[in-house]
Amino acid sequence: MMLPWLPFIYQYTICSFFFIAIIILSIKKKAISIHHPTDRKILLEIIAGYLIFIFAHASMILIAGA
Amino acid sequence: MIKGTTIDFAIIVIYFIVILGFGSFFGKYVKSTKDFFFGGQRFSWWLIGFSCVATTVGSYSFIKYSAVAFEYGLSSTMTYLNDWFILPIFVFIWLPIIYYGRITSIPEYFERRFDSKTRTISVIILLIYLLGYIGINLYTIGVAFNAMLGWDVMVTAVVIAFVCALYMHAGGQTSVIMTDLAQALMLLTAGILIFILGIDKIGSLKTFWTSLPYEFKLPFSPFNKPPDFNFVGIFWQDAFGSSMAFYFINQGILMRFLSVRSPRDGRKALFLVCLVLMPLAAFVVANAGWIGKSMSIHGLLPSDTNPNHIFVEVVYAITKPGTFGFIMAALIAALMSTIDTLINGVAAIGVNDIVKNIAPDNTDAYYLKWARLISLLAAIIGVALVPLFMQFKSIYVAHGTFIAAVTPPMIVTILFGILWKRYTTQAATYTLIFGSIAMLISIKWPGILTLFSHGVATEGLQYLRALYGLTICSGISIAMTLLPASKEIKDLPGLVVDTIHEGKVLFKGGEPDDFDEGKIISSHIVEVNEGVSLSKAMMEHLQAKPGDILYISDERWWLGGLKSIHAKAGPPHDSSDDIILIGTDLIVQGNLDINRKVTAMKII
Repeated sequence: MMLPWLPFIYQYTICSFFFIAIIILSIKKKAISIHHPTDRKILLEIIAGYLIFIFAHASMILIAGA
Repeated sequence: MIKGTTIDFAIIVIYFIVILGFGSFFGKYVKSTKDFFFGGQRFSWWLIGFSCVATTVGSYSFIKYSAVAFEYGLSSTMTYLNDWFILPIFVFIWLPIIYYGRITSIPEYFERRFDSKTRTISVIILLIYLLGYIGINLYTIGVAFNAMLGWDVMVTAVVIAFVCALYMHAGGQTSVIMTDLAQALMLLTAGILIFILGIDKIGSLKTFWTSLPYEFKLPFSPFNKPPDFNFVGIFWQDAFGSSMAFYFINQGILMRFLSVRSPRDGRKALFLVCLVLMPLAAFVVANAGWIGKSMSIHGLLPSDTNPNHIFVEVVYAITKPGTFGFIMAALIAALMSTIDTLINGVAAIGVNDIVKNIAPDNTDAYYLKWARLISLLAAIIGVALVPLFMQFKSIYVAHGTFIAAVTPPMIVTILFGILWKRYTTQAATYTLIFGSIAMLISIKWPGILTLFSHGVATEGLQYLRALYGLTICSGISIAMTLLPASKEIKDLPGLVVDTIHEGKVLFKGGEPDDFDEGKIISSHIVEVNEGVSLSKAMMEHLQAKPGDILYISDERWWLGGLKSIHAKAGPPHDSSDDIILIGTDLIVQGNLDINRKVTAMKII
């Protein structure tokens, strides 16, 4: 049962590294500001969207085995 | 295997006539090269979102993904569902750089960030990429229509390229966006129709779902097998190769995001694309394969059906005359909505990076004439490349080889260029030149890719070419930049992540005021000699000050910004609170109707 999860873990490990690194860099270099309400809203939307994809892929694996 | 009746042929011909007329109609909105390439930077997020998806879904998508879906199941969707991780870099860094920097082409970014030599190299690479892409798409549709309708490959390519170039010639980016909206709706409808008719043929949704084996329902293929569709190879080729290329080096997509009325709308368009339309497109292009699998299990199709023919076989089995023609027309729509963007991209590079260098200081009308001429030329070259792609074993080998060989050096150079201020011109030049050589070496001696195999068998190593290219190019970039002698001090306002604020200042001509977005107001127009002026109350409502850039648009939202204008707010007027004073030239430029109300919003 571990095999279907291997691509999931691989994809989200590499993508999450890239995803988080870019967010940290953007904040550090002041491309966005977490004190700016619009920037904060966009940041939360992007993180929420990413979590939706993680959840959707995990659900598809679970449903396939149901 | 020639399918199709007279009704089907008639529908295809009607489609050609309608799309040609529809696309050409928007020629009247093109008054300058800014209109031709960027649609006047006026469009709404939903219009851009739909047109982006139409561009993503090429003619090969239905055939390729249906074949993969028939063989491997729901994992066919994985290439369309792994773009979200790119959003932070696109939304926070790349979009502000290109929008506020008024970057008209990717090579222009290279010159401003590095030097004219890197610009020249990038022009060569991008033209190869874009023209080759046009050729591959024309070849694919030619092959498909040869099999389905008996049309000659070259005749199909010529007819479609001709229709596309004609409406592109007239309306430029505005025609591309508007026809792409129509074509996106058409191809999404066709895909959903295939699923509904397929389920009806099978019996029920439950019968369909329970007939599929467990492995078939998984969202990812096995990690490193089979060689031709393993997860790790597809992941690197698609997520880090094709998707990065699509968002960062595809001139057509850059121009699409420069056509939005504000970066805020660009962000919304990208959310719509990644969160809604791409998952929908993944379903639309692949479901004929899933339906085909279930039909073969239920004995409704031979189980040994060639996967490459499954799309046509399924469509033919579940449709009646007329519906078949509509779906074939949708296939053409998928092609045309991809190559019109590419043709527009070639024209932009041709004018901005070649013609303006050879013949500077000419009038805008002169460059507009060249833009139209280059559009026609791009279509002709695309057709001329079709015989070249016929030499490859299959469309997919041709496509994969071509994209993987061209894109990694450009992707790495752009990413390092925007993320790392210290990244030098010398490093960029070496990455483009030696990165491209490294890619060619991997095509000549594919054994070198074994280093990145992840356990994938030799036959599937070409999918890891993107990882190889990204690694080699990143290595060259880092090594060359860290060389002690390569340090360079450059002022890069708005061109790297560190200086985005400076880019906003340059864009506005003053300190940006994007802290509060304000509200949207609706009002009547009163024509004046020049400029834009709102009442004091309206300015407060918009949270705007004199000097801020405003966006004024016809109040009919469904026009998507077709009739609109950007303008700097002048000092407030003392007249009524429900009128906006707008100069005659701005009314003409924005195609605004004096008798209709407009909406106004603050951009920055």
